[in-house]
Amino acid sequence: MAEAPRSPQASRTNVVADRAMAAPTDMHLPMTAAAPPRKAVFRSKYLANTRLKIGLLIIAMLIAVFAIAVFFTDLDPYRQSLLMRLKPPGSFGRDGHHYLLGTDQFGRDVLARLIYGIRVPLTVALLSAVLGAVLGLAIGLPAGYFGGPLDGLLSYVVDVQLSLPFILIALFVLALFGSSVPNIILVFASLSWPIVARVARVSARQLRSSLFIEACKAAGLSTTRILLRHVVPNALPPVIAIMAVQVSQFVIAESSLGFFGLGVAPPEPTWGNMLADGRDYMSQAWWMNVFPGLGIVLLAGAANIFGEGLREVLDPREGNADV
Amino acid sequence: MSRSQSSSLAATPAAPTMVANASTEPVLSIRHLSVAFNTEAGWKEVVHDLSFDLRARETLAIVGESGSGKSVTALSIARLLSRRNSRASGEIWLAGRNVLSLDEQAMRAVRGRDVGMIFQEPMTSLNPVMTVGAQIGEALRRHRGMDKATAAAEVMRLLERVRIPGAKRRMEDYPHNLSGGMRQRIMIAMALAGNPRVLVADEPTTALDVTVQAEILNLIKLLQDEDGMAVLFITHDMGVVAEISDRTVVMYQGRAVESGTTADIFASAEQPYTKLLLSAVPRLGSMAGATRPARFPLIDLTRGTCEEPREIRDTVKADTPVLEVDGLTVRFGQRTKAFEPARYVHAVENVSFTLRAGETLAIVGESGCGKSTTGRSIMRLIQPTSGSIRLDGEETMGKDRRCLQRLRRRVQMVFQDPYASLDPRMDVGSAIAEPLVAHGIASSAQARDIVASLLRRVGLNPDMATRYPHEFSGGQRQRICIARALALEPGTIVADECVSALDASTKAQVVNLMLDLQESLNVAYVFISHDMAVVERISHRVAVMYMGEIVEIGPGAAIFGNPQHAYTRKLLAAVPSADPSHRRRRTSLSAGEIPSVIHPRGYVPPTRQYRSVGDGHMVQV
Amino acid sequence: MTRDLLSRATLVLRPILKALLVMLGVLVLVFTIMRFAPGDPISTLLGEGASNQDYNVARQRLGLDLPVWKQLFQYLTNVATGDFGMSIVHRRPAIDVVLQAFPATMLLGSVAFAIAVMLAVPMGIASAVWREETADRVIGIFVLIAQTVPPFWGGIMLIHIFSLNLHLLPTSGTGSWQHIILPAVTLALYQVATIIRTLRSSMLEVLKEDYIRTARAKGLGRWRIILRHGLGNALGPVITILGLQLGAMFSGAIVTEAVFAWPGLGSLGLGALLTRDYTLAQAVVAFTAMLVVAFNLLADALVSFIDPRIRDSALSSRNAGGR
Repeated sequence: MAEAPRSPQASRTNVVADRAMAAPTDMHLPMTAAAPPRKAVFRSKYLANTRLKIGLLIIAMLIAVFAIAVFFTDLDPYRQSLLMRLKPPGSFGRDGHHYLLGTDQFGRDVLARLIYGIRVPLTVALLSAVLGAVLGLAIGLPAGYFGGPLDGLLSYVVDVQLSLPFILIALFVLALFGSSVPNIILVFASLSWPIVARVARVSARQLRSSLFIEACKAAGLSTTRILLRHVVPNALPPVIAIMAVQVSQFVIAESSLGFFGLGVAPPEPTWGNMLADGRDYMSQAWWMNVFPGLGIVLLAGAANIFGEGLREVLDPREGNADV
Repeated sequence: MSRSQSSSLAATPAAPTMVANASTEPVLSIRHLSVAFNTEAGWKEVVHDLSFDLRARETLAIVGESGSGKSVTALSIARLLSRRNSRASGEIWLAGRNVLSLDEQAMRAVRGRDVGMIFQEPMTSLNPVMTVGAQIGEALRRHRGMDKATAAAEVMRLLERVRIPGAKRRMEDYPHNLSGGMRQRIMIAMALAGNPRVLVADEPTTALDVTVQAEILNLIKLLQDEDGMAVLFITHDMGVVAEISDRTVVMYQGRAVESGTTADIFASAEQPYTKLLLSAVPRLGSMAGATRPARFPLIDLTRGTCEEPREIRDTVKADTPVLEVDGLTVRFGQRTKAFEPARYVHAVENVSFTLRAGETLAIVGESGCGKSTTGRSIMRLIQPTSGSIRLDGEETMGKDRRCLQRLRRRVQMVFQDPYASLDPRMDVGSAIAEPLVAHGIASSAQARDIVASLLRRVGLNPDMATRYPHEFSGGQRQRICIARALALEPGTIVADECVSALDASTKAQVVNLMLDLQESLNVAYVFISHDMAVVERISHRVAVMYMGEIVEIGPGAAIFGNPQHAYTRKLLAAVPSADPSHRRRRTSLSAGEIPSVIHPRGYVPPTRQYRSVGDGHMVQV
Repeated sequence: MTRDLLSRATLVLRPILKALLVMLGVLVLVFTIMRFAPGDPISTLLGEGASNQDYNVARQRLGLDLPVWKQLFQYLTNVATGDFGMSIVHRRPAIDVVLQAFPATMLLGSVAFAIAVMLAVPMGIASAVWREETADRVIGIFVLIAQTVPPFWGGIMLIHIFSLNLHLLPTSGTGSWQHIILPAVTLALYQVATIIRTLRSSMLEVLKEDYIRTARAKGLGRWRIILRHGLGNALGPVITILGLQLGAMFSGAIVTEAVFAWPGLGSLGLGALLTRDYTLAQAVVAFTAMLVVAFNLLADALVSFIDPRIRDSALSSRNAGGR
């Protein structure tokens, strides 16, 4: 049972600064005068966050490079040339083609493969993250909100899934079922939705006992309405933040698959495949190993930074953590 | 000592000279203190040019509402504010040194030894994973260089000084094993460990029940008598100020507005803000003789005029009961381990009362008495175990969902925390309109007009409807919640501590609004509260609850003027009186155990008898 | 009081029971994946060139003529007795092969874990204490890199630098203590990032709390506050995460073992998949998953031991009124 009811000094976090500069106090606002117009604070918060901008910028740049390459250049990731095998970066081909990043063991242009190689990881990562998030929300929200046996079941399933080593299971399943892009997406999504579900569940549980939800119930709103109009919008932000980080992890995971030869089949250029190829030529052709890796780091890094920025905006660290 | 305004206490020289006579020498001296915080919008000053002195054996109260800068002042003395987000200028003289000029390392020697602090939230202010004995012990070892054995003995002695029974056993307890009052005593013991000359208390009793608050205030006074300590007491409650302080500084928006002896300030305040604070403070006994609820007198800051309190007209329709509660019982099963007998929390036991149209029934009691549970049961947010609840004569128990939805329109609720009762992601217009749209009473377009009229009715501007909750102040948010409750045109509103979280002046405004609404709409209120003084003003009838049962019920005048039950008397006696000349005698109340409402399965509570004291006034025997 | 004894007993038994249930779920999942993989399981298991007779014998031995749930039951009872089936390629009971490879992974994992903890704990604390200052920013960059560098690529790069160019350490295999450095560091890298992030966020949460302000008001020394009061409360979530990290470590181990040719469970599992020895693969997956469950159990037990609130709510019944 609760202690005596708290004053605003108590019910907010112990942020003295916050109280001191709180929203307008009642003292000096005459009753019926219009409050001075205020900008939508959250809008500008999103724009001000550097991490968000950097992450988004890098991803946009990568996609732009891809678009330019596709529409404006004649870079061909598939064309082989036995004459131009394993040439270092900067080499020139017979036809004057400048191999900026060298060639691989089949004489294919590494730069071309690098640029085209973003297609699969990005698609897989995005779609998997979205699918996983949808599943996670659909299952986690009701479980957290209604509790009871559904919640118990969900916790159990989450525990089981989290005990499975991700890559191992992914490899296992894909080896058995074949590794096409839809399969990969399905496997990733089904291995990752528990994490989203857990986040959604925690949000839903907190919301369930929050006062404004009680107020909705008191006003006689139906459960469906409460869920759709109040719970989902409030539970969504942390889920989206998790999604961004998962995109980053999926990019890495997809390339791991390719590295083991269990990703999308060659000759499709993916960074994982390229690294698998390059493995046999480690001492001879360093450019086959370095550049695809950098690509992965760039894309995964951008998604990660974006996710961090999102988290900062959605969950600002108030309070004094000084010691 | 004469009263003065602002910082004219700086009649004393800038640096206090070391005078031989120790008893008139201030132990704490603040000179032109200014504190600023670094916000999104730049540096903002929250304390301006504050000066005052504090002497040994003296209690100085700093009183103000939220945003006044009083807590910031307290934290500045011990330099506990964020070093990177705040800066302070001026001088704070403590034990012969200007604290603001010391570096962090030197400060660590000052904190705990020269100044001890206790805070508002005893629940979160103690480390949950350390025993209380260890927490007190580490302060002892730090400041008095004790070894383990000596420290342990001293910890026991300190616990006894703060009147905690069974000190030896308590030492090994963790904070979550203790009640709020006990935790606060532990905090006091920790603060005293270093034998400081100054104790800074930042709203230490705000989060406690009123009877516990009385005990803690007494304890502080006792300790002060024993030790000769100086106490700086921060509070927003003028009643506490009257109870405990010798001198008072009134702060408003970072400035000291008025200061002087407490007696002077209460008797003849000069500044309009001080007068406003005093007028807005509910005073027990101010309604003696009135038969109907009355509005709070309000002081207009800009014009300096005072509105006289007005009784409302007779709104009670004696023959129309809007709410009849009969034998309401709510029991919760408690989670127990396997192999343990099932236990139940008897939150509400056999509660019965009737509410008539246009009437306000207040349900009062301390935390855990079941008043909130009663309110929530009426709203069916909690399912009662047994009993009957009739709205406008129609039974609500045992009805299906559709029926309940319909009945819900007759009674609405306003909650305690205006910050948390509104969806932060929904604009207030939609929030108010939502019940209308959800029940199919109005379309979105019609709702807009209704929302505008509702906002006007609660004293807000209709074009505020597109704003979001965070853009409003606490009082405004509570008005929005009231507007939302009115949307369905209920006959009854359950107000669950709905003014408890507001400043005194805002409280007065919202209470007046509620009384206005009662006059114009004839709405009935179930006013749940622990604040006896507000209750006295607003209610027609009062029910006192203790341990889940109503121990006394009757007309407000009867309950306040002629309390019969022992608990009612204790409750009324514990309310701080906003009159310094009426200080309670100091008794050394020790921390007692709280009786429990948890019983094993099959426990049959004793049937209670009530006797009538006349005219609807009933007391439990 | 026997009642007290019994409730203490359940305190210990309940999590164990839960862990067993999770293991059960894992095994059911593994079985389901195997059973519903496309293709004929028998020819997949036997490989090419099996005679008709082999086929029928195998069919009977594997119990594939029984209904599904009976097969499941058979499988579970087998596993309970330690029988994971016969490895096709190695021609030995799968469990033997697994147990033979297990110590190598444990060794690698332990060393990696130790490195990770030794690096991450001080860095996590430092980045919380000096939040937003240089130390925090530098550590932040380190964390970003550690999280976005795919482990296999990181391993390759390390080999490039330390083996091929600097000739300091061997490229792969086992043998001397030098052989373990690169793989352990590679494996540790990803974990370090997660530990630092969790510890930092947990510490920041804790450092904002009221009791830290009380500790400061008591005049305690800075590091005493940080370590005794701060870390003491921040450890709980971190330990829980560490438990989960162990699962991730096994995933990471596959990759690392593959890159460095380290003969542990990861290599074993990968090899099994590539040689279509699905029995062995399934054994590796099941075994690994069960290990993860066991480690999680340990982590949970540790957390409840550390936090007296959890200890008390599970054990004692003296808290009247829940204050």
